Amino acid sequence: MFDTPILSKDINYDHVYDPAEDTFLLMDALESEHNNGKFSSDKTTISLEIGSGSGMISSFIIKHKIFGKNNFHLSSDINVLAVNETSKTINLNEHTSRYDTLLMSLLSNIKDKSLDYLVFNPPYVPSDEVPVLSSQDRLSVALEGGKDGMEITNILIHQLSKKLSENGCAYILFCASNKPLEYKEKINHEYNMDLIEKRKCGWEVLSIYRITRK
Amino acid sequence: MKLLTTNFIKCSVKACDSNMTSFPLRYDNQCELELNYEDDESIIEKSYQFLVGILDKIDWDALLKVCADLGNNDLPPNKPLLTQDSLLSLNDNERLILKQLFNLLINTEIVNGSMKCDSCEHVYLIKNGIPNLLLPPHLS
Repeated sequence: MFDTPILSKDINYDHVYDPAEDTFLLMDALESEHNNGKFSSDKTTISLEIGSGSGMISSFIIKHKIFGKNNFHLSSDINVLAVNETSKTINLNEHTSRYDTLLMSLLSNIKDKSLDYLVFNPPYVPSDEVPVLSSQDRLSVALEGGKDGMEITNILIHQLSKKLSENGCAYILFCASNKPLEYKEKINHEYNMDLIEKRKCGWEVLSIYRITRK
Repeated sequence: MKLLTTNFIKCSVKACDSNMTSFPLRYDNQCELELNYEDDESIIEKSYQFLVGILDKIDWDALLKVCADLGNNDLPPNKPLLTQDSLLSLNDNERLILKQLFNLLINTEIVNGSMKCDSCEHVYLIKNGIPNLLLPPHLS
């Protein structure tokens, strides 16, 4: 098993998401795909993690060369404190310049057909509305996803087909209230959606799906 | 923000989506750069495969334009022809090209400055190495 990246001691978890079961499940899913030979080890690839938060998952991807040894990894978040933490965490775990960090929302800034791999642990908790980021509250945007917890994931998946490279794929986390099986049917005309990992975590059932263009 | 990243970032204003001039962004010539040039050939050699793959992926004209914005007009006008096979017998000139690309693409960082969309003229700031691509509410 790959080691879990270390985090700096001074992260302010009032403003940046503290890694939890969902974070670990996503790392486990990436590790199992890596071990199953899903990622070419030699090909030059571009990957992006959206909502990188503390930077744990991005550091895991970089440190363990999850997407091969010739990968360039981008990490983005809409919370500038999270972007700063992501850079710090990556530097703590690996000496490399093959990554970059961006203050960015979803995929509209990404050039079409660029991404070989996308990783997203979205705000998936159902809520009355999608929260707005403010200097008083930077955490709700990392958690709450509006109706069925799917409003943000849904926007992302609409952008995805244009942004993925020819054989690109996305790894996205869902919870049971996101109704992933119904969603799979809904996007079936455009995407394949395959279950990679599923785990009961306290009162939540979380799953990671691999999404590819048809 | 690494020079390589400029090759993947465009304006996110909806109206610019189909406008060719929204990529690459236009970088201000006052941008502050940080050069962390690597001279150790053995480290650069470990990235040869990566660089040849990246050459295949990048839009060379966009790279030329961004470099010119930032005051670097030294790149060859055409993308260097290098393949994974050419790595087996590199000449000195090719080694030099790979070294320059390595230092340009991932060891050159825009630390502070701004970039503008040629289509809608929206200006994005870069602070402490982080580009701010978030749009104000009236544009998003």
